[in-house]
Amino acid sequence: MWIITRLRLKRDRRGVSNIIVVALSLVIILVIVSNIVLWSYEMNQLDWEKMKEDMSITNVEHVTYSSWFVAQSEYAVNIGSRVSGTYTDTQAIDGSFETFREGLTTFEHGYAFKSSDTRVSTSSGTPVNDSEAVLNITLDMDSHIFIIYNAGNKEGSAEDQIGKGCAINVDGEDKAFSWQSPYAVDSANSVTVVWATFLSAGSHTIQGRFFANRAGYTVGIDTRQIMAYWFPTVVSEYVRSTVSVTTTSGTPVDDTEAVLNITLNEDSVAFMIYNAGNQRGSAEPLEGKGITINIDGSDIATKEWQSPYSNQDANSVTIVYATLLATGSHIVKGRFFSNSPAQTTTIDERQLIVFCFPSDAVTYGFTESTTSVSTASGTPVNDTEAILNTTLTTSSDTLIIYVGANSYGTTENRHGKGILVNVDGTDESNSSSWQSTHSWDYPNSVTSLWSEQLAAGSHTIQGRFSSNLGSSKPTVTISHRQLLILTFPTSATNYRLDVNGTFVVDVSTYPLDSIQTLEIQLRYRTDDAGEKWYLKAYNWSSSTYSDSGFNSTAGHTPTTEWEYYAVNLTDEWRSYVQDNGTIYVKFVDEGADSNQTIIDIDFLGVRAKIDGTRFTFKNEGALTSHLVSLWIINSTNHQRYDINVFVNSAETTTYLRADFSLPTGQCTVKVVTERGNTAVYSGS
Amino acid sequence: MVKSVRNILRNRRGITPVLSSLLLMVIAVAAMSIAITATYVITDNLHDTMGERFIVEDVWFRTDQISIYLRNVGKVSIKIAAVYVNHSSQSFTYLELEEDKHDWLNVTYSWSSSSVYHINIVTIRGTKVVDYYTSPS
Repeated sequence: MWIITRLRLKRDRRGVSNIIVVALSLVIILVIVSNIVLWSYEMNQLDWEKMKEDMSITNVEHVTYSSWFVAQSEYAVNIGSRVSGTYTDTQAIDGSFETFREGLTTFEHGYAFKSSDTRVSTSSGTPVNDSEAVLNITLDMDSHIFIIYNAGNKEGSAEDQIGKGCAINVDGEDKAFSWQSPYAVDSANSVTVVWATFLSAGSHTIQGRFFANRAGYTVGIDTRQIMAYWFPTVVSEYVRSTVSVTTTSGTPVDDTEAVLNITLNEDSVAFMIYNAGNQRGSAEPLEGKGITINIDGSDIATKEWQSPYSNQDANSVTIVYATLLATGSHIVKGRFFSNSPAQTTTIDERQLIVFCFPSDAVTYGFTESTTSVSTASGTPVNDTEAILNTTLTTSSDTLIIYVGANSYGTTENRHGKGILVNVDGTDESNSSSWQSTHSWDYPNSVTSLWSEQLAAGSHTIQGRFSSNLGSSKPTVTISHRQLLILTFPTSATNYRLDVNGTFVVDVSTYPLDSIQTLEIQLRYRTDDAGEKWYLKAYNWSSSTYSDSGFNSTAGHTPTTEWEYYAVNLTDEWRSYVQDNGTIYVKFVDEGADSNQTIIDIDFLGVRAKIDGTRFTFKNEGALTSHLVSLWIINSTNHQRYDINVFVNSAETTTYLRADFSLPTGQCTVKVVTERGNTAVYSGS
Repeated sequence: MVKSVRNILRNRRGITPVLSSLLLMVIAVAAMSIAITATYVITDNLHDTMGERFIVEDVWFRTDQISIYLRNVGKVSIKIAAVYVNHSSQSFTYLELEEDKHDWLNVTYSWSSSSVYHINIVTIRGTKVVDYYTSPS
């Protein structure tokens, strides 16, 4: 057969060519047909799928709030402890809750204080020990420490007219000096000197020392106070400089050697003390000098002034201040001026100290006033402008400083005045300090220190003053003063709770541009109705937890039943939310107390207030639909929005747009699928 | 080798069939190329025409203008060639839409309120979408 076929083909070659041509033609036709048929099939399938789509809009409604955004990870317990439950128990208002318990909070500190009215004297021109001013301390940990030594003689005690100097000696080394001269021989004369440093753990000896500004002439100390406060963890800056600076300015200028930059990572109570003076021989007018403190470019409201015995005699001034400094960087400066403009005043040595304490661990009281108060009394009377009332929730180590001065030209007996601190109605006589002035109505400043442990409860601290000489024209004046209290709670019964969690607002659904504000809601109960609770949020602008700008910053006092506590972040909300929607929420009590409270949190969430629209789409077709266009149409506008929503077959899906709301009046909503079908909803 | 060449030159009767075969091959290849190209052109046009789909998402009667929002839901790009309103051709803004693209087609037309308009949108390949639309009152 094969042989026969080959022979026939050899014989009839034209037939072969025809077969090839026909076959090739068939191939071409097949390609054309298959291409068209397959493409037709594909397009028909597209049309068929479009026909099978059945999408409808079943509801369109105005939405004013987002859903609640709850914690997606465990809360951080900064103070206190978690007793039971987990963060998931706080995600819904139901029977399950997470329980926390307050924990002890302590601000590690130590202090030593000594006051004495035993007189000591010397005629030495170099420092000798004030045997009544010795502090032997033992530090458990390396610590920042500040030391204040205030020593003086009263009117009538032996005192050279050139005055005395005082020094702080730490572990055998004199660290800081200050000098002062009185009105005349045996007139009142006190010196304040301060020092701060970082001391290693262990035992240390702090010694107050003094000396005559004119060797060979007797000077003395009738009463002194020496205190040291130390803190293992504290933000502190301090400077002591012996570079001399001068000015003839009658208004404050920077003491260029007394500038401190402070960076705080939390709101802090800042304690500041600035002590500046010249020793004998430096340029100093009879009217002396004045000083003040400048914080972030603003001088505080009060000043202090002092005048020396005579030109170029020793003359020093001290000023204190306390305030709440916000998180961030701050600049604190000492500033000084001449009480006799155009005459040179000098600072030979100054000490500027700033210690910052956590605002939730330390309480403080501070008052300053520029109202003049005078007395002719030879016994202490109230400086009516220097009073502080404080209530301590627990026993606290308390530091008190009272500084009062009169400016040049105000009524002041040349023998000057004495001041002291009165605690709860008791004059602390060992806090007494006295100072005389150059002459009648010349500047005169006095500093008084006190420290003791005050019990929990209410306390009144009063600055008092008297005339050093009750004879003719005895009147003395305090025209500016500062009264300061710092209380460091002892750790025995000091309970707090500080919890914070992370919440994330879904910015893909609720763009930040569409959010009007945020709300934080808490449902909780406590077993102690005696203290307030606060909701705060992390302010990304100021880098601190805060409730500044909230609609309510008063906190919430619970009962022992379940309670709701909600706050609105008003138009300040943007400071509390990161661009990705993250917001940190803190739940914290008002402060330390002696009750260890247990707190149950049933719900804690954040939601956004919006002006949006929720659409409900129903897919009654057999295929999944992809919605690509949304139209909001009314008589004046046809607004189109891109959307990207998939709705499975036989499912109903809600779709929320927070960036627009429905127009008022009659409107039509249309949604278009990727296949080209349209669903319409009419409503108003 | 030299001997073989001499034999071929000497035997001239064998050259003619070879040349004719080569010529036929060239003609056949050219014919097939033309046929394939024609096939491609024919099927491609047909393919594009069959793949055209577009829809009207919205019609907005604006002042002296009818804005028609078109979406290309087909498999090829489209170019609008003509728009007829009530069977008369109207001027319109140029519009070409790639696959899955959408945009407004603005037709210049002074319409009357509460009237029904027959709008026919025709692509350059001849695909058309026709419907009636009522102008607002």
